Amino acid sequence: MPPLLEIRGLRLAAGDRILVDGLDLEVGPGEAVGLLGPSGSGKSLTAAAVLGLLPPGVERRSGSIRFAGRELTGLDERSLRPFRGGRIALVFQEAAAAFNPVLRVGAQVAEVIEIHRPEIPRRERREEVLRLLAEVGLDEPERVARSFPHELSGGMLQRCLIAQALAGEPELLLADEPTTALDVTVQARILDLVSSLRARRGLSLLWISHDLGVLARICDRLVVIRDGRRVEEGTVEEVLHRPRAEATRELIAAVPRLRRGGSGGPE
Amino acid sequence: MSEAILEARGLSVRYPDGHTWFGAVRSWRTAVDRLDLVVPRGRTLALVGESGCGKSSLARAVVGLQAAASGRLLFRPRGGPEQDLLALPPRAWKEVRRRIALVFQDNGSALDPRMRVWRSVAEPLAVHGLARGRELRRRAEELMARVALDPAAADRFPDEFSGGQRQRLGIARALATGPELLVCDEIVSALDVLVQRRILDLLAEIQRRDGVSILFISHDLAVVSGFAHRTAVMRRGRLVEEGPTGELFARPRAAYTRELIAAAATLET
Repeated sequence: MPPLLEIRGLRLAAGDRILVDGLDLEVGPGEAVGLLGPSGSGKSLTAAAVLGLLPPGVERRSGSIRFAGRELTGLDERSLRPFRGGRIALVFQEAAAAFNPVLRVGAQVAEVIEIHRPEIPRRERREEVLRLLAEVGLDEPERVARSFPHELSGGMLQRCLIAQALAGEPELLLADEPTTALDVTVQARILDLVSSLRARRGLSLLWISHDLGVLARICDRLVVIRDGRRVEEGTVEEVLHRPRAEATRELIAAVPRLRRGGSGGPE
Repeated sequence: MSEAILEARGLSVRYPDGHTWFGAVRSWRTAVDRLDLVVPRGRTLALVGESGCGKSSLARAVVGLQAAASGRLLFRPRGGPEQDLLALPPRAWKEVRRRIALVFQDNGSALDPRMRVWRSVAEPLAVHGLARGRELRRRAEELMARVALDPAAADRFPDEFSGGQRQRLGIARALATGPELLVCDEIVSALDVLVQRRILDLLAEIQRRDGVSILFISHDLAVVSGFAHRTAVMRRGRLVEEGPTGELFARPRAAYTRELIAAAATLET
């Protein structure tokens, strides 16, 4: 089967600084790929490039990005619209910043349905919003839908953001460190949720993180980048237990381990 | 256990939670509820718990940023008398602030973006009248070198530094007045694992060299388990349990602690 997302030789630069240097990356249908790298390695820019959302000053110099066989680079805003938030959904770290603070959460999820699934009549949209909020494990969908973002906890908002991402019935979910800011208990629950959604909907995932533990838990395959270059690629098992690149070994060694026992104090 | 540099006795902190139209407080929310806790001198006490458990409210009380606190919060500076931080007259705070420094999560936004970094680093020295003129610049460069930043970068602005480097600048600034107690609020949470490791190593080295005591607030149990001498677990403003870190992680007594450790363990590789 051809890959759902295929990035070839992607090169991004800001002035004379090369930020992503000839990156190759593929995500197959239903596959979960983790993009691992330290801060500043070009992970987030790669995700932004897929949706044509590069920050000002950063431009694509060369390379192609194909989604379901269609070249996305060079598309104008209008042609990109069905992909953004529709066939490709983006979830990022700061759920609080993703929502409009003065609109109720339910209305913001409904908006995505209105744009990307016009076949759903207006009177059924509300039902669909509640169904989505329940699907991401929110106990009181009615109350959550009526809430303003500031009335919900970080974990709840992150779930709402995932519900909003699912509202457009995406084939690919791009996730940029969506759980980094959350408590471990909440983090673990969100990761379980995403895994089950993936199984249920046949969703493909491109999950971006510097946290190896998170990636190992939900991905099939890992791509490791450093300074905008791919330094390693393989199954989670291969990359974790038989890393070939020095940069990967360094990342694995730096992961803080839960120590049980010992005398306490710095290692 | 060694002598305590900081001791909370029945410490409570509350927040105004809703105001009337005229600005009067209508109700209060208790963030810290009758807490007893000790930070041993020259050691690190970690405070862990989920968002909203009161750990940051406690940190703010220690640096005098929390008005509505009750109970006792005893600070024992070297060679000075014991002081109750909750009963300290405003004038006395200035001296205490020299001895207790706060480093927080987002030092990028804590540094003045229009100020050259050496000025930010040296600012506490100027405020406390500990140095002036050319001496300020010299001390700033010294502090930068201490946190492994190139003193040659002293004239740059904060946005020319990476997140990890800005965190180092925050630590350099906190160290400026030679504090005895460092209060670190989620200082490595936003950093990637490589940078995290370097910052923790730096703090451990500063502690070994200067004997500084650290109150280390974090929700990352893996980081805490390899860094703190003692760990206290908080939930809804109350202390759940406290003990030597190794022991607490090996044999947690409270169900809640076991739950937190289990959740952290599922994210292990």
